[in-house]
Amino acid sequence: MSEVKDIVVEKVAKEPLFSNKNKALLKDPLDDNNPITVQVLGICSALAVTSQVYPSLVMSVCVIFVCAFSNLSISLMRNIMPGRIRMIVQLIVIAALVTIVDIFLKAFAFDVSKQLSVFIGLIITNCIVMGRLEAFAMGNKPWPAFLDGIGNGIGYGVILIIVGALRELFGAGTLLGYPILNAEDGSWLASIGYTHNGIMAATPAAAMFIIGILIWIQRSRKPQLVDIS
Amino acid sequence: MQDLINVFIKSAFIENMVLAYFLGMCSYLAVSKTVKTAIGLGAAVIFVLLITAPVNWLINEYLLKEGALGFLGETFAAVDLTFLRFIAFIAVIASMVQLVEMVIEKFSPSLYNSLGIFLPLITVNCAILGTSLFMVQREYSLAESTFFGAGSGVGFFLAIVAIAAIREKIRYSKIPPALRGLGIAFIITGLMGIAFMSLMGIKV
Amino acid sequence: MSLNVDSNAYTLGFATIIVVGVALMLSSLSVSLKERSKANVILDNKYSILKSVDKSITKADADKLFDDNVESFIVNYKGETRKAEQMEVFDIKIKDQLKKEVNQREVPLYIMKGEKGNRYILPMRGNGLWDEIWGYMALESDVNTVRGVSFDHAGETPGLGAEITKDWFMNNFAEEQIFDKSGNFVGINVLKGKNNPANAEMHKVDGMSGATITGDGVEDMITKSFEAYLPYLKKQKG
Repeated sequence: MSEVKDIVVEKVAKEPLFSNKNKALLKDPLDDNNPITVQVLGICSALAVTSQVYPSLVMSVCVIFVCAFSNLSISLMRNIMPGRIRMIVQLIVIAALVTIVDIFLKAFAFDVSKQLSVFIGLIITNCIVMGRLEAFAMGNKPWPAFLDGIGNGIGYGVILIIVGALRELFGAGTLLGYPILNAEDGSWLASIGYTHNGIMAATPAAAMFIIGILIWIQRSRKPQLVDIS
Repeated sequence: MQDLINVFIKSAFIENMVLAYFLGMCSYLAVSKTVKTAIGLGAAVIFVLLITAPVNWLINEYLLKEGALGFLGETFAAVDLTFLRFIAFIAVIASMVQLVEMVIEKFSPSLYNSLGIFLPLITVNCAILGTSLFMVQREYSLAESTFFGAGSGVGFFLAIVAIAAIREKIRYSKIPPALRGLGIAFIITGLMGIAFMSLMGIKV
Repeated sequence: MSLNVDSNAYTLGFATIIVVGVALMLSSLSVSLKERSKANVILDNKYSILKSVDKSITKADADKLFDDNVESFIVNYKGETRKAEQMEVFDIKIKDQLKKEVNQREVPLYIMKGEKGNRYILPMRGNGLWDEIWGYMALESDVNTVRGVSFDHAGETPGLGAEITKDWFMNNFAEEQIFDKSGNFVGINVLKGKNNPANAEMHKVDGMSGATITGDGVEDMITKSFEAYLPYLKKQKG
């Protein structure tokens, strides 16, 4: 056992913390391997909160935290974990981390926790978290797994914030609550016939259109991502 | 009784888990390529929801809620286990899914064969956990929770079968290559969401 | 090295350690932060109650202001009041009360002492378009004129129904009256459009464009929630 450990330590020591490979772990999920638009994971838990930028932002931070630390802890346990209860152990680790997030939000950011309500709990079933545990953390060392978690969390957050920004801007004319587009009666925008778009603000359906179009743009740029089905 | 039907209609159509809250999107998009598999997954979801909603309600009411342990005596009355809610709910869901899988395998191998592969997927279906969490947040009673679970399940079934049927049809349509598959599925879901919004005016 | 990670005993042991470990960690965290989160909930309660009286109150002042000036009561349908502890009154679920027959209800009432006499603050709860809406309405000492309101919602549409939490909408309610000239309860009517300013009618406020259902919900919420208070309010009016 100690022999194996020595080798591992040596290897880690030789590899710089931010080698190209590790940088790729952080960067790839932002575009080429984006969890939402390419891996199609984790659409569920959070799109309903994207009607404004601020909740999207908080949601992203929570997902990054849960993703990174669940990846880290499962990776640490990967060699000692019994195969038969693998899934349930993963679920418990995720649920525990989400509970921590929930407790902290309730104690230190009450207003946000009120706004996000049940959607914090739904991070547990966010497929990104579970998906990355299975696909990456189970077979990789803790540090790369941690980076992979952060990368995927950010990749997810980027899409969430883009969607949130577009919906808030065209739905209510504000960004993070600051008025950007003024469409009050008598303003210039109103005089050319612009009004805030009810669909953008009102229905989560708008989020679907935006993601659909994001996928369209991304795949037009990178035809290798197109699938035929 | 009218209240219960109201809850059912509301959760199945007006506040459809998939089309109004976007829960359960992962399996919704992954298993909606043919109608047959979609029906299988939809049925399994209804089944699991019918069990997990009331079971989670009982657990929350008699174990987790602040003061829920009061029946054990004065000393336990102040115990508040709400912080265990997420873990308890997900554990119930995971074990119920496992149980359902075993029961079906034992008593109806043919159903198991057509449904079996989708059952494990259901554990991480947000619609299931979402139903349990919404039920607690809205303070439903046991009967209301059961109807809410059934309604959410039927809503998921309708949504996934509908998108699968549409995706089977559009296989022969001329769609820009980059939009094919996933992209168009998102946009169709959006349109379906808007279509379901038209049910919103219904007051039961 | 001979550890068999798939043996029954090991699996059981591993599961136990994980479960106990996680439970210990979460319970200690929860216990240590519980006071804080409870205080947050209470402060939030006090803040939204006070907001119906004065929009300029900040959350930081809410605690002291409430404890110094506000007394909490429980009201029944006979119009009788009973003074009660803050916590007891906060714990009353308006939603449960609304499910009961009106003469069975026991509802909270907050009375704020001030230079211009007592102000009466009444909680209310109802349904908007998507989910529940709730809030407080403060009445002046004549028990008829509205001092102000504060609303909140669970999931109304930002920019449309969620406008009920915006000052422009809530300010509409100030100086409206909930009783008509002959003393019958009429509530507040949320209009589809704007109130005609030339002969702005009492009991009517401007609606939000594109959010008719939420507006109707507000109207309905006021009417239904006030039912249980009417005997008490009429008694106070004299």
